[in-house]
Amino acid sequence: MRALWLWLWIALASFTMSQTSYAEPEANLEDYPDIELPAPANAPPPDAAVEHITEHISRKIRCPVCQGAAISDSPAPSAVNMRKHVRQLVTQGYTETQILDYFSLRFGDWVLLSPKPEGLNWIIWFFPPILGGLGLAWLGLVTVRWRAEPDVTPLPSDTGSVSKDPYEARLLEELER
Amino acid sequence: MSARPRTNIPLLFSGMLMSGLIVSLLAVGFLFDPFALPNEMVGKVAPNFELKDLDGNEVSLKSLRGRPVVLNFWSTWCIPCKQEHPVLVEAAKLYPEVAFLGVVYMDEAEPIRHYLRRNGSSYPHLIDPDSAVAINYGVTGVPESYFIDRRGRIMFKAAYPVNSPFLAAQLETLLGGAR
Repeated sequence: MRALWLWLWIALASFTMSQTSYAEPEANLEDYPDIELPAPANAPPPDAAVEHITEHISRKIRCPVCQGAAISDSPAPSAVNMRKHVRQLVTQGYTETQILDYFSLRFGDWVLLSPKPEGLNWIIWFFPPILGGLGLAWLGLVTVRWRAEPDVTPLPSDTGSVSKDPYEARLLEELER
Repeated sequence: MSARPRTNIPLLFSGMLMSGLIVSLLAVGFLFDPFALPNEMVGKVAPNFELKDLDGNEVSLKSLRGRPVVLNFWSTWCIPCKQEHPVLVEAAKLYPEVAFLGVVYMDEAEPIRHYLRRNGSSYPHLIDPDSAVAINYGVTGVPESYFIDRRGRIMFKAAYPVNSPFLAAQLETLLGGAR
């Protein structure tokens, strides 16, 4: 059991360290990240589909001035403007991935209601079910052991030995009648 | 006489390890402001834009390449924006080599004109239809100021009203101590 925990700990620490990156000093403007939009990956969708796609993508983007609401659900002016922006990008043929990347590049991954399954985010996706599974396995193991193990100190009546306590001896005698 | 229960050392060790891990994670959480949003744009090339000022003149960011730029998103319904307005107006006069631009955030031209007539201004204020430029810069509220160097890179971002000492320090850094 100790070895299992040790391995889990080492694996988590190694993964965290592998994800840490250090930016190199940048000298030329060409080296700086450019966030201008690339060309749309798709042809513009038919007009009838634009609203549906916009709604679908807007459900995945967090409203910056609300408490955990998507821009599709918020009447806040900034959310309305962001929805308009999503619609414009959809109309031009940008894919869902391109649009979500566009927002996360500017606002941070915080703006995505579901964190991308990459890097350290894998912990969010997999740690709770792994922890829950380990907890259930431990509970099962403990229960099985508990049921299989005899009592640590069996009663004298269980072992068949005669008690020296006169009260218990009399009680047993009464019960046997 | 009952036997003393034995201590399960591996279980105790695992429990302590897990408790330590959870407490450490919670302790790390205290180091961060839960309301602070990431400054994703710092270190990136400032996206270009072409917007019209209150007189209808077109201004593009690209045309200012070679000069440091202070891009201030603001509105008349934002009280902290009004508090920092005189600081920016004064700094624009003191640092003519820096281009100051105000971008109107979710507000109308008329209240802006009215406010500027009463409180003065020393730099252009641009109308941003549907907040397209604000979204392109990842603006989540006002005031927000972006400090862009001569080469067009975003060096700093202030998501709060700036004061004179802070502004002077940022501008000196942008100018590279050339003054």
